Amino acid sequence: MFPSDGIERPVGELRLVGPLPPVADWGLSALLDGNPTVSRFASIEQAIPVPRELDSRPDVLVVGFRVCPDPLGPIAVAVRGGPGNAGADLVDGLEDVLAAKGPDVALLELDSGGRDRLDSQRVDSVSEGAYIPHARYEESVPSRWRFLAQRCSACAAVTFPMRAVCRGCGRSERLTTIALPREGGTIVALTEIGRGGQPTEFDRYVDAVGPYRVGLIDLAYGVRATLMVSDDPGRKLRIGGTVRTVLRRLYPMEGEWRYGRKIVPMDP
Amino acid sequence: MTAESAAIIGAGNTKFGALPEGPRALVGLAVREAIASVDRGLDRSVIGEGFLATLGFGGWQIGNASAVLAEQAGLVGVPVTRVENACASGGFALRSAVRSVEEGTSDVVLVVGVEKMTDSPSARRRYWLGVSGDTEWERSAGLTFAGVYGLIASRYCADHPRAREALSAVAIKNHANGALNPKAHFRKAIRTEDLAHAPTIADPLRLYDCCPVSDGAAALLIARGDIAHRFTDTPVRIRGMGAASDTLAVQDRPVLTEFGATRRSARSAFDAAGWTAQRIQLLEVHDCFTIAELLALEDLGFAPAGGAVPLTLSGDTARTGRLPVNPDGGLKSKGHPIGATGVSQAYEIFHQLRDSAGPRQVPGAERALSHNVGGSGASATVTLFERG
Ligand SMILES: [Zn+2]
Repeated sequence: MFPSDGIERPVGELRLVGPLPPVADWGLSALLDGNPTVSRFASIEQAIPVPRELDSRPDVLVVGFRVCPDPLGPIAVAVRGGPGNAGADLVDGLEDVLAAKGPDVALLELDSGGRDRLDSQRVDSVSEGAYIPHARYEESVPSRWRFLAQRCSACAAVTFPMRAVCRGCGRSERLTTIALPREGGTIVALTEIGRGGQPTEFDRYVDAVGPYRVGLIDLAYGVRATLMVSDDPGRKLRIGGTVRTVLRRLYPMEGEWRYGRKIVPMDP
Repeated sequence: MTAESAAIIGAGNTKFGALPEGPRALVGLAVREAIASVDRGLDRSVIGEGFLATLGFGGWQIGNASAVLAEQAGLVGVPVTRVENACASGGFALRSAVRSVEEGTSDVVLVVGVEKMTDSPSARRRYWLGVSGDTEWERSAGLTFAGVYGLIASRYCADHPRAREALSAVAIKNHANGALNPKAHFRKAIRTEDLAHAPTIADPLRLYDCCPVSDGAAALLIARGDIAHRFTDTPVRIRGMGAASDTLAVQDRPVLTEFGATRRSARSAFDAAGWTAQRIQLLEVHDCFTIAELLALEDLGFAPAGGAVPLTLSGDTARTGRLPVNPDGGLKSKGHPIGATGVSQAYEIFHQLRDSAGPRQVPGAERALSHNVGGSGASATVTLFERG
């Protein structure tokens, strides 16, 4: 899906002119310094490295970003649009835009907590983590990023993440791709991983951000997903709570950051 | 099955804990003790096959580990197979051994479980503690085993009042049992206060809800049923076995607080023996985390959903209670050298049913059950034993 040509790196900068506009007003025109041809990724004060997945796509254009007042909230958003979409003026409601644009549009929101420290550390080319080669990760991107699943017309079961066979009946020939809802999941179970209990892939995250929580959520169609919790510094989420999911940075492996969805409170 | 059921005629178990010995030496120690334990002696030439249960923790001899068993047991030339189903490797190796003697190709089969865990550096250890869950999805959400069991415990505690109290009661009970077991990793009783102040590992699980990282090995000699009495007057018969699988990731299961693999294994084992749960007088269950003991009691049919809480809080599962559970201290206190655990459970039952368990002896037990789980429930075995 994406060429593998090395580690993430900054490829461009967007410079902010003047004071920050109100969050609701943030959009391309406010951020691009009048230069709509500036492409790729940027931040307010320094370049944010572009995830490799986007870097090598000439049709990727960053059209906006936002800052969340929550210290663990998203600070940057990259939306892939084509050159023809350069005028897209997006700040909020990005998930809707994604849905409207279909599966070719990717959205990234990076965790802000400890981001600078995370970015200043070298991304190890060798990891003590469970080894998932880039090809396996890439294969999982449709489910990881866009929450795509398979519905089986033989038994009506919905299988997530996507795999070779229906989890209801084991057949493979009657699967069609559907998108799971990104909003409205319910927390079935919730744990907090004590410091030092994380898989080694998350050592850097814990050093930078602190202990994290993980939830199992009911999505729809009998599908459940186990995902990390983000953007809830007050730890207000509880079992039974309603959540949505956003795309975030997960952990580094083989010189790249891996991305996937995380749970955030429905109403921040 | 009949009186001809395959039988354990000898058993060995190293001490569990942070040991100086490496995996090869541990295998050798357990095998020597097992052979020495055969009442009328055993010539190694009757051993026709061997099974070695190990995860290969730390990367030790992932390929052909079974050859180490052949060397250490003096069995070079005999077929040996490594069996790997994470923490249930031992139970599945025992199952392979029983099937091997039932086939009639061997008179006696040796089954050994081993794990060497404490000599890996911390990062490597945490890597290996997470390799048997769903590495692509659960792990990428930041979970190792403790985290998955923490999720399960969070749901169980939300569903059942006093569940957190029962988790602590499991830890206190199993530590009290382990204190009487000279081979246990922890031989120290703990109190409610110790638990409350322990650090969180995966909320609601705290330090004392989790089994330790241990070294150790265990060995069993399984004989064909009709010749068991050549070796001993008191064999321990295997009356029923069940084994099953489940999805790797818990997100694929309809109910988080049930292990389908345990339920299916129990049904098969009880059907094979023609027994009901009421006939069991002693249990060795897979308590890698305290929550796992509560789930086991329910999945094995000893309590309804949530019923493990009152069963545990009433003291029924204490060593001196109505239904003793984990009299050797369980994984929680005896330790959990991954590949060795399922074999070591049978070692404990071998001694309990022969009245040779010393100060932790459960008086008069004639029928027992062992329950071994792989990871967070992706595989399980249940084995039923009887004095023979
Ligand atoms: Zn189907």
